[in-house]
Amino acid sequence: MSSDSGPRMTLPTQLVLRAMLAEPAQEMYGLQIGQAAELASGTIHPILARLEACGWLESRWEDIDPAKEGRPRRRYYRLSPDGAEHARTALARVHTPSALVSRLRAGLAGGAL
Amino acid sequence: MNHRPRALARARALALDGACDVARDRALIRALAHALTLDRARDVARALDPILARTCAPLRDLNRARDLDRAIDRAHAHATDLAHATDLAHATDLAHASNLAHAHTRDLARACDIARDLALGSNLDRAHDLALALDRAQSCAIKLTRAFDRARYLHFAARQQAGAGSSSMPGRVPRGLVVLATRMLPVRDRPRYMEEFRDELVELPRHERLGYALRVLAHAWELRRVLTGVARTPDGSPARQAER
Repeated sequence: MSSDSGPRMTLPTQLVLRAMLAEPAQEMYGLQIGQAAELASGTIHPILARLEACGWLESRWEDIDPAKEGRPRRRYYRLSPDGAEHARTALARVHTPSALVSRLRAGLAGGAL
Repeated sequence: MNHRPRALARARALALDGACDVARDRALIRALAHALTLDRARDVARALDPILARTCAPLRDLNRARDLDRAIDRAHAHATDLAHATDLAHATDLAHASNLAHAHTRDLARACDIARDLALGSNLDRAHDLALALDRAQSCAIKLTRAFDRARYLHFAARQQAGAGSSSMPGRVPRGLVVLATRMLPVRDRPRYMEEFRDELVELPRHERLGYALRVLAHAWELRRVLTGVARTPDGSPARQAER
C-alpha cells in the first residue's frame, strides 16, 4: 500500500469497499461487514486495519454499558468522507469481471483466504 | 255336462297347487338368500371388528397425545413464567444491591474526608486510625461494587444465553485461540482487538465460533504487519498514511 494509490486492491478489499459503499453513511461492525461482503468471519480485520490506516475508514467503540446490554462493546466502522470518494475512484479503476468476483466469492466465503 | 265344472275345478285346483308350490319354493329361496346374506353380513361384521378395534386404538392414543401436548404446553408456559419471574427478582435484587454498594462507597468516601479533616485539624491519633480504617473499608466497598457490577453483567449474559442461544459465553478453545491471536499483535493494539474479537465471538452462533477463532489466528500475522507499519496519532489511533 502506498500513500498515493491507497491500499492494495485485492479482491477481499474490493468486496469490503463495495459492501461499505452500498450505504456509505451507515456504521457497521466487523461481523456485519463480513456478511455484507460475503467474506468468512475472522478474515477482514487486516483489511479494515489497512483501510483505517489509509484514512479511508473511521472507527469508534459503541457507546453502551456492557453490563446493561449483556455483551461486550462493538467496534463500529464507517467510510470517511474522503475515503468514500477514494474508494469509488479505486474501484472504478480496478476492472474485476463480475463473473470472476462471484466465482471467487464462493471460495472467500468459505474462508479460503 | 256335469263333467265340465269338475274338470275345471280340478284344473283350477291343480293350477292353485302348482302356484302354491312355486310360491313355497320362492319363499324358501328368499329365506335361503336372506340367511346367506345374514351369514355374509355376520362374516363382514366379524372381519370389521378387529379393524374397528385397530382404528379406535390410535384414536384413543391420539386423544391422549393431544391431552399430553396441552399439558406440556401448560408446563412450558408455567416454566417460562417462573424463569422470567426469577430473572426479574434476581435482576432487581442485583440492581438494588449494586445501588446500595455504590451508596455505601459514596458514604465511606465522605466519612474518609471528614476523618482526614479531623486528623489534620486536631492531630489526634484516633482520628488517624479512623481514617486508615475508613480507607480500607472504602477499598473493600469499591471491590464489592465491582463484584456486583460483574455479577449483573454475568446475570444479563446468562439470561441472554438462555433466551437467544447465540449470545452465550464462548467456549474455552475459541477464547484461547483469540487470546493467542491477540498476543501476536503489538502491545498497544491488544486491548482493542481483544475486545473486538471477544464481541464478535459472543455474537456468532456457537457452531461458527471455532472457525472464526481459527481464521482470526490465521490472519493475526497479517494484521500485525499492518499495525506495525501504521503511524499513530497522539491518542494512539492509526494516523492517515498521507500524513506520515
